[in-house]
Amino acid sequence: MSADFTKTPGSEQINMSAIDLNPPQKSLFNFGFAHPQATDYAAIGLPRMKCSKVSVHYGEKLAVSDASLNIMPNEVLALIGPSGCGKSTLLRCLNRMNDTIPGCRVSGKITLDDEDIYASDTEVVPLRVRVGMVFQKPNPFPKNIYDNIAMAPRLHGLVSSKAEMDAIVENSLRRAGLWHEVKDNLKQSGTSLSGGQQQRLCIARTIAVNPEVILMDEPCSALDPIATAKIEQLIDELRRQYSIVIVTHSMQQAARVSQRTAFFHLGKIIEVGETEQIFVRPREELTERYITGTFG
Amino acid sequence: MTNSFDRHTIHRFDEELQALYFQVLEMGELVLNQLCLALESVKNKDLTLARRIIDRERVVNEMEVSADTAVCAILAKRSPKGSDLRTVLSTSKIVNNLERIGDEAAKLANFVNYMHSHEDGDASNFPLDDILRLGGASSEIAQLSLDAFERLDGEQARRVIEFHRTLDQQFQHGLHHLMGFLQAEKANVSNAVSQVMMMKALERIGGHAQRIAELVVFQLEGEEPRHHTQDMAQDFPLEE
Ligand SMILES: Nc1ncnc2c1ncn2[C@@H]1O[C@H](COP(=O)(O)OP(=O)(O)O)[C@@H](O)[C@H]1O
Ligand SMILES: [Mg+2]
Repeated sequence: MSADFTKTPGSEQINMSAIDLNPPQKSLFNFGFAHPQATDYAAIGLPRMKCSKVSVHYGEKLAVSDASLNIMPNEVLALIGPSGCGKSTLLRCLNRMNDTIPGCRVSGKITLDDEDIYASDTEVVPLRVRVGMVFQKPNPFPKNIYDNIAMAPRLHGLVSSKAEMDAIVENSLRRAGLWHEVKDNLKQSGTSLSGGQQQRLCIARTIAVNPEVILMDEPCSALDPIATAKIEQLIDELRRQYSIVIVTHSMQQAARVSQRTAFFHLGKIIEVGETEQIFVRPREELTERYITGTFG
Repeated sequence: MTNSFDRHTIHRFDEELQALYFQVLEMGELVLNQLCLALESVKNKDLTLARRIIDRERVVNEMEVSADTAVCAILAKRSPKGSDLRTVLSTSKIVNNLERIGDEAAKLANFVNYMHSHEDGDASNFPLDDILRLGGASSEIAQLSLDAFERLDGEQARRVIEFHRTLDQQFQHGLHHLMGFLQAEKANVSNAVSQVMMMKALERIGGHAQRIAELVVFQLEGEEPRHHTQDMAQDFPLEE
């Protein structure tokens, strides 16, 4: 080695022949964000719902193509992708909200606890009790807060007494984090609440019938950041009991609330994986381009 | 991953990443220069040069602060994801390792300053061959790790990681020669300790360079190469 250190070195070749190259191995520190706690309510066990090769047409237009996806117990699954890529369409298939859309055809198979939800003997109303839906725009009924919650349990004959109904209303509002804000005004109209409160009322309404799966289509897009944070906190609590599928146009929200993320592009599921993996080291080039904002 | 800075829909983000990248390259160049000059000052027993290096250490520290600020701003404003997230994270850590290489270079200069400003005997009689050989290897590995970062070259990064072992061996050989010399010559103890510390500084530089190379691999592939179990040299430097 020359001892002239004023020149930066590095032009010489390294003699590698004597060194054995270890095969690359999985590192212990692979920058997983996964907390140990994350496994508390981890998506374990059998899938609650299963989509196998689901395609959806609106007339001639193919909106979802050959989508296969599992929804696990106690998980929040986020569906992300550019608008128009079919997220809402697939979400609506999960409780057959597409049935009423003229020209909409669904093929493939979707099961809930291994029962085909599109089988000819599946009734849609009980299905929608088991698989509830929260929409983008809060849509409370034009009734008072109490009745907003009581309506569905009443309709489905889930209660036999006023006391029981009171308990369901209180419990649902509590779990939706709304009880303390409205308990003295239960006769107030649901539509008089703020946007964030209305959305939590809609969530309370959905959980009043004790569903298994809750579908949410951009539930925070009309809300301010504080109302959004409350909904996200609620989603995290609800996960202990339900499976939640959330469509969101906010990647940050997907990263914050979900355990798994599915990325859609042009009607196809490009990649599904642990949320950390999707946002730190996506496998697919398209996913990478979408999450880094380097799309075309 | 590429180094082209015109990928994002939001152009300002590209500019911020590019600015950070150039900041690191500039810092790398300065740190490497500090190291080379430090070795020069060891070789020539050059006190003036040593003091200049110690002075300039401040600039290296300022560059680290500035890069850290840029990293914070990008994290806060852009919430980077995927390869962008890995780039920002690894860059931040690389900057940290560069700063420590700068520290070690300044340490070398400090010892030159110490050994040759107290003319209490035998500082000039110590053999420098081992230190200079070790210095050559450590500046080479530092240079190579920066090249790997500059070109985002995973293969080169992996070679750097392996090369680190050679440096450890040289460190051990150096210590053994020095112990032999000390036994034969009854040398001044504080100067002998200084020699050991200088060797250790050079060995650490190799460690930081290895870390930089590992971070380049993480940036490119999303996972770090396997961490080497601590080389024996770290725990039992006197065992052959
Ligand atoms: N009711 C409908 N009738 C006809 N086409 C529709 C209907 N709803 C959605 N589409 C079309 O299906 C595709 C997917 O839409 P959607 O599922 O709403 O996407 P996303 O929720 O990902 O934005 C789009 O091209 C959209 O125009
Ligand atoms: Mg939609």
